[in-house]
Amino acid sequence: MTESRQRFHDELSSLEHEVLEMGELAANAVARSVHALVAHDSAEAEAVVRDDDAVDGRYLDIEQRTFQTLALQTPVAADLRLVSAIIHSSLHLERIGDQAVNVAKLHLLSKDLPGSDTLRRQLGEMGDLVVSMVRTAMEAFATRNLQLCQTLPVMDDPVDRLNRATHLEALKLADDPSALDWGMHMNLAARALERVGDNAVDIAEQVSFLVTGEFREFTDASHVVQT
Amino acid sequence: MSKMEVVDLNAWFGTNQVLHGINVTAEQGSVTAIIGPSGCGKSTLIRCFNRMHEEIRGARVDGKVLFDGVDIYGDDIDPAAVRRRIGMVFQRANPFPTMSILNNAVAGLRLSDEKVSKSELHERGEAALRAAGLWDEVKDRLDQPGARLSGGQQQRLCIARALAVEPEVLLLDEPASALDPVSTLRIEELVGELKDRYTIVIVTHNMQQAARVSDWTLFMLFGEVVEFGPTTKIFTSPDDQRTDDYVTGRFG
Repeated sequence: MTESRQRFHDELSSLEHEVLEMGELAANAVARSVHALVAHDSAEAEAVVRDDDAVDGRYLDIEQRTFQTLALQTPVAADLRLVSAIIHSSLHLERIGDQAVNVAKLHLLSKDLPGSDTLRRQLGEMGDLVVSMVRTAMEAFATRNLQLCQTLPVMDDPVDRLNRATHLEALKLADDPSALDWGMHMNLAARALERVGDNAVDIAEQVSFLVTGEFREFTDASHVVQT
Repeated sequence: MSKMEVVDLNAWFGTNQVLHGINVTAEQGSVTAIIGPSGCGKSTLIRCFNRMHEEIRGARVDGKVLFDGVDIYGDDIDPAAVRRRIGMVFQRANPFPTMSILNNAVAGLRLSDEKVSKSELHERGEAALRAAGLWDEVKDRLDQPGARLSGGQQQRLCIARALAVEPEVLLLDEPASALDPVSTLRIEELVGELKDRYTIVIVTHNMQQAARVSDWTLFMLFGEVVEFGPTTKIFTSPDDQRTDDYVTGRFG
């Protein structure tokens, strides 16, 4: 292999490494935001909002470098699929970071309102599930593990169920306007966590494309769900 | 039926076998690119498409090359007749240097047995120069020697010369490898314009060129076909790891 091609492949490896690190940053932000919400830790919530700059910085750096790589090295075949997976995954991770910020801000906005322990427990459970999904998707990326990718939609099912359950739980607070106000904030937090799960599934789809060269959606959201 | 179909083709230089059991097809109205590292046999293969390989002393071929279903290596086939219908353009532009531009374009016609009047020669020369995208640049100096043209123009003149005899297949052996990027792009555009009317097979060292101009890509290694498939597939998700390694620049 020529020296310039070697440099190109080193750059691809470095970009992939940065995406994997970004994955851990984003997963960690989600875990901390949910912990802040469940444990009533406002200082932690503020830290999550502040620290999102690190995730965004990674995203911008990855985007700029992949853009340069496309322009200067015209990657093809496995290299092209890796570049594509890096671009898509980093965008999904940036969104996951934003959802962590949403959860943290929702806590800060509603921290003085009366709440429900059941709903907090459900959100804590959702948080654990989606953080585990993000880490699983990133592990599948690092190890090019197709089987691991395919576990993501299965992991997503209980997240969707919990999301619906939080809605019903919030409705129980309808008699007390303040508690209902809190419940509506938590509904949005649940929605943010549900989106994190979807983004993790999307990353797994990208990894699956990277490995097989065939793109397919793991889940089809384009039909009406009976509840 | 494919316009051209190579079936179990083997080729030798003396005792040295350079092609091993090649199978490939070229469809009417499409461009097929042949890629592979130096010495993999791609130029030999394209030269077997119109019986040019056997012009080298000691070179021989076995297997079939079907043209509209007829084996061009059949006993009663005249190689010169094959080459009229399956034209070829080489890596280095090779116009006749002192011959005028117009006469260069119709050189193949004049050398053939066909009786063509002077006015028809001019007409067919103009048609060929137009088809090769050169007419507007040379129409006011048709009497000047071909060697006065730039490298890119000379190569298009050679394409015009190949087109003037009205072939059905056009073989291009690294037609742009000696040209600057703008002339290269002009040749690539020309390939796109010509493919509706001709079946085109192009050998190229430049993989991005193969990706840009062709519909089908054949990847060869050590005189064998590694992979033959739609160009988009070869350059996004080839089946064979060796193809992937080659197109991504990991070897070759």
